[in-house]
Amino acid sequence: MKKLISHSGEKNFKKLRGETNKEKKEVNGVFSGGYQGKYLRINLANKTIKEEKINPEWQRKFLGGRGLAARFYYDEIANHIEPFSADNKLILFTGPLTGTSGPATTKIGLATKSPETRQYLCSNGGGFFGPHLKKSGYDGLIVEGKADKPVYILIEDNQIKIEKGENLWGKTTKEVNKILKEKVGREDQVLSCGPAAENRVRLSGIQIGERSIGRGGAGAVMASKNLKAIAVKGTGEIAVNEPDKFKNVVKDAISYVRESKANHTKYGTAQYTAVMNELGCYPTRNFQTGVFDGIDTIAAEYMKKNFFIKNLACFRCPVACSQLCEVKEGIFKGAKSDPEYETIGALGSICGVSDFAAIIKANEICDELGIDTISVGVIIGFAMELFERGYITKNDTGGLELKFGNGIAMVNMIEKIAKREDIGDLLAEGMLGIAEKMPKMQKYMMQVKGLPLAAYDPRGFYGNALTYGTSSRGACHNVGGWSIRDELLSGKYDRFAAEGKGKLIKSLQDTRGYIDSLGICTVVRSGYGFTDRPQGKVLECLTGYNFTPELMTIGERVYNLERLIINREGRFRKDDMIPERLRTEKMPEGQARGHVVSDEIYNTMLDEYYEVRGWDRDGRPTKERLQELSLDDLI
Amino acid sequence: MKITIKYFLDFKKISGHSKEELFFKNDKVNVKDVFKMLNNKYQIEFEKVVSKGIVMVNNRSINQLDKENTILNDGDELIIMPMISGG
Repeated sequence: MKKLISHSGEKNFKKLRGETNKEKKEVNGVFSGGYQGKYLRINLANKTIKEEKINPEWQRKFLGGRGLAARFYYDEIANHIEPFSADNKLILFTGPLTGTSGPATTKIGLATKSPETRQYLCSNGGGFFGPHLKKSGYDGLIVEGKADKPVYILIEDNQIKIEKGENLWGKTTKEVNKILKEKVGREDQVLSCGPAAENRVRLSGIQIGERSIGRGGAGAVMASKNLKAIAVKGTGEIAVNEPDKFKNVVKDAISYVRESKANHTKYGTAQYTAVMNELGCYPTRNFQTGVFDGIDTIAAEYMKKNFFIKNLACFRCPVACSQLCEVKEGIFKGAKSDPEYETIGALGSICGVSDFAAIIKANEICDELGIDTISVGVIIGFAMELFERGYITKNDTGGLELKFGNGIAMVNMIEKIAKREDIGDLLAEGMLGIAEKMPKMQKYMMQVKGLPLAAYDPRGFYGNALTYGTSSRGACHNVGGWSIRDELLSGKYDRFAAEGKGKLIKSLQDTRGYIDSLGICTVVRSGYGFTDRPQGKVLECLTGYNFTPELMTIGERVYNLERLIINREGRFRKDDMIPERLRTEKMPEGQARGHVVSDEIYNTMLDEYYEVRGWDRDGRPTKERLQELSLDDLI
Repeated sequence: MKITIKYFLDFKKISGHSKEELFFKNDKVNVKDVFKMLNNKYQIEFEKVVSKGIVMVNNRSINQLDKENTILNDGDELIIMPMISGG
């Protein structure tokens, strides 16, 4: 075992670990629960493992998870650092709620320089990894440097080892997770990258059992460090400030979540597939329309009736939204995966594929090879359009008839991307890499800042254009603020108009900014009272710190910190623009027929957004706003 | 006058259809009148059930219109779908 070296000189690792509900102690002098107050810094080049204290002021200002990871990113990943350089880092942080007895306290946030977008990336993942890391006694983990040979990291409470990983190299994520399960207990206590990442495919995700840290290519960053996996087993306690009160709050949250998310348990996020199609915003054949004629065979009821096996749950989740499916007959017989809404959109309608068996198979190989289902689906949809327009041919595709609707060709193309064969080698470079080689094809690329769009077409909900445009990690429906419910139901907005959308999107982004920093899944957030008007006392019962009134400010602080980072990386107004197709081509059919988010409409929304954010016209936070948010130390 | 109704997920199960047409003798019909007809037809309090879902007239939520008092015209399409959340 590698000897643990404490950054602070403190060698008594049991001091903060082992705190129980019975024995309340201060963590870092500010909190009396929720946090462990320290994190691991593991350098793969010189094989050092350090335990470092976290500045409690950072936890107060940025909570944990996404916020805290961004704060470390700001200090440690300079502009000149290339995604695949040894100087890039994997920054992983739990939130205060991660690993506690609350519902779906499953999440761990990640920050790294993205190979796909070549800028700041935030992402997060569920499963049991985050909770076990926290129970090992650590709020987070920073991996730096590059190992000379393949390795994996094994964390068993305060015993941390960098182990030889040559035997794992070349294996799929499923194989790796199965092998390391023997050491830690469950496959979803293991975080691993797949063969695609080893081939530096820029769309490579990280797999945690059946869950993914999908977007932005973090898997390829792992592989570039010769790091195949991190496995963790934690058996310690997480302190709770007021255990009895916390227990009651949690009980209420679980009841609320069970009832209000019954459809998530029944159908998962796939329940929205047919609904979005009806609303006319279900991207089809590379966003050429918003209505998919093959919807009936990719909708939730069809999935449930023909493929469903069982629900899968993340740590302490009463919802268990994941719907494990199996193909029972035909060419893809035996394929198993849990397709959710975005995956069904990307590998279904966006590629024109109505064969749900092909979607299950494609999802399975994406998980096993370690590829983001959203990015790969949108990139293959783009390639299918080029094929149909004659810009690429069978000579490029290795003989594949890469037409919309050809599920077999889609599955084969995913494998080619993972192996970098034929045009798969170019597609593996992601949208930015493709644009460099095929600049004239950019009008068919559905991406912002290099990240492909998710499965909503903004021509059906104009605010969604701003979501994609201003999301700090590129075109993401989560980080960017999911606006569809508010645009449709609040009664305050016209879904086909610009007015008020800037303010709406800011509020949604700030809300998401703090939720991603808490360590919970967004599906259960309302059970805790975590909305744009945060209520409840769960954080006070847990940490002893009066967080709730500050949550929206924390979310806004996180968003502005991320904006400072991406400004520093050269992203400004010009990079907040949405794809040409959405601005110039009218939606041909469905509820959004005739609508387009023209330059005029989009710029009107963007101006309003910058104004309510307190940013200048080029998308830079003003000094005054940074001071208001106590970020003036970063100016 | 004729109103077309589209149902999604649980509402499809309640009605047994994905789509149906309702005919009214009266020309002044609002969303509430449709619910009344559905209450009788399916022996279930539709107002209560749809309070957990979304009701749209053509491509707008009734929240953006006059809620249950929204006037319907001949040929209008009413959509009843589950509540959405995401992101």
